[in-house]
Amino acid sequence: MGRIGVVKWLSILFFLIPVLFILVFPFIVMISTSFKSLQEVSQIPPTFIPRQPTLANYREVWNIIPLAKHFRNSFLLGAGETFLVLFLGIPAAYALCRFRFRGRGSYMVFLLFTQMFAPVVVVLGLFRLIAAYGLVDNLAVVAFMAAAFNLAFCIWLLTGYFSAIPPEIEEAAMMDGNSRLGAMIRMTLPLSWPGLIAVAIFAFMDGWNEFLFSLTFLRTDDYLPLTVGLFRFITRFQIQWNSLMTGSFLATIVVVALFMLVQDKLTRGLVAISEK
Amino acid sequence: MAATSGAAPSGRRAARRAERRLFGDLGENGTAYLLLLPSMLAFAGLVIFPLVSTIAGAFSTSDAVGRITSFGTLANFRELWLDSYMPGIVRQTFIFAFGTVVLTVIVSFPLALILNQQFPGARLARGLLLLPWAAPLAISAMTWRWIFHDQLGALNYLLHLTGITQQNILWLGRADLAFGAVMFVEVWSSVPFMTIMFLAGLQSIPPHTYDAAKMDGASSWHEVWDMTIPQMKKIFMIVTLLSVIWAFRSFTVIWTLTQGNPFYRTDISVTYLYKLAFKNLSFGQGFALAFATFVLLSVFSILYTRVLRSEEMG
Repeated sequence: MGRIGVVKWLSILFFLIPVLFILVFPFIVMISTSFKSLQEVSQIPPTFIPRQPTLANYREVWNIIPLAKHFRNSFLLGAGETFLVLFLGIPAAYALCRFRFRGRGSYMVFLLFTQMFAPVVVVLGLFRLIAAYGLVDNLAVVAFMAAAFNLAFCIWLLTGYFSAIPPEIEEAAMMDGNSRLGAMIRMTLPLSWPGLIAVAIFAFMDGWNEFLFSLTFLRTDDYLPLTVGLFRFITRFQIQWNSLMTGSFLATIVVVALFMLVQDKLTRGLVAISEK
Repeated sequence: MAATSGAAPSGRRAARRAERRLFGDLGENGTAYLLLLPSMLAFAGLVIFPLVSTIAGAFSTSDAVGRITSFGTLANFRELWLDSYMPGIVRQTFIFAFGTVVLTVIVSFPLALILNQQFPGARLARGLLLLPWAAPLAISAMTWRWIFHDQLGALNYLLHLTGITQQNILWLGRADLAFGAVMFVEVWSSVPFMTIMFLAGLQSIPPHTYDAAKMDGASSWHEVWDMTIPQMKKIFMIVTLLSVIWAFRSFTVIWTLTQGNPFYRTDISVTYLYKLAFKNLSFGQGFALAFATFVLLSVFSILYTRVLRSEEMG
């Protein structure tokens, strides 16, 4: 036992702690840089801990980068994807979970298939249509695309959460005169709300973190979400790293906070998918 | 069930009547199809149609905005074949996809073994582990770009402080280092998910497996090698195959870190085809490479489902 104890502590000290340090390192740098002045980020040698910490970036970044608009657009993408995923995913997941219909197996394979090819392939094929119909700078298009690529995962998650609700509850509701769908809406949906919230947040995070579709189909600053907005800032101007890192930190903290709320539920759901 | 059998049929009949009022006489199959219809329409319009359109584009000539001008030619594939950058792109794609997955496994598996133990701070460690997975990848990758900055970046400063080198290394300017950097950031972003999957696999192993072994005097090394790894085989296969597929389609890290620079030496097929179409406006070649990438990933998908099936049988 003693020897195993030593191995355990050595592995924590020499493997776990260094790896965790690397995993959180960018976030440390992000926060540290956000408290530095432009003069301090441009000086050689650099510093790890801000020598003269300042909150000025958090005041001024809103004027340097159109951050408020980017926040609004990221929020719209997140909310739009959440709505679409739930609207399209709940009926599909319910059907997969409760009905033994013809073609069920093929539909499951098809869901897997949608996860298997690169979104870039679809971007190329869709581009001429988007351009021809003047759908550039349309956030709804991006939300739809992101939702379509995240839908399979969300249907799997929802199926898992629905199967945890015993069908007998619905049968009881049907005996009270509810239709099958009425029973689903009155009984199964309310009972599975923790799962629904986990899926909603998963979809919101996916929309918030979306990059490729926004990069291709959104062009004007007014319509860019945070990811592409901050990326444009990097490529277009003389980079002000302090402003960029302030915006990055603000963009990150929102999803990380949301993620923390549903972390356990979500990871358990994802694990259940992989075991299926 | 027996106790309610008297009341059930009339209740069910009422329910069926109500359902018929709502949906007509669709029956089990019909109701299911109706429920699947919205998602099917979304997939058809946003996934299948563009895919077919890309495949058609690969065998056609296209103008500068990607419109097909004439169908039925292999010219795009020929041009792609003659493209002097292509051999490098193919090599980089495979090294990137398999390399990042192998490295991610090498980090994630020991990490999961450690996190599966009890120790003070284990909960905090698991929380921190998931940060890179939750954060927007484009934004974390830009932060890495700042860390790799040659003069002002944290990495070179760290190397100066520890006395490893006093030079300002051009992490993203030299081809070999830049390729290493994009692989590193890809691994950084993939470790959390894989570790959580491995951790779940470890936790599903019944603890008495180990108790029996301890009585036989097995060492902790044998414990891992002889018992944990075989038990983990299924989850291991699934997670690594899925990761390979995700690595092949990985776009964000490369695009935000290097955009394939210098000289296409950090490009992989998905970033290169994006450039072919949207920078060079050679949509035809872009379509052709997209088609080739699609075929490649389909092969992996088939492999993936085969493995899943055979694991379920065995």
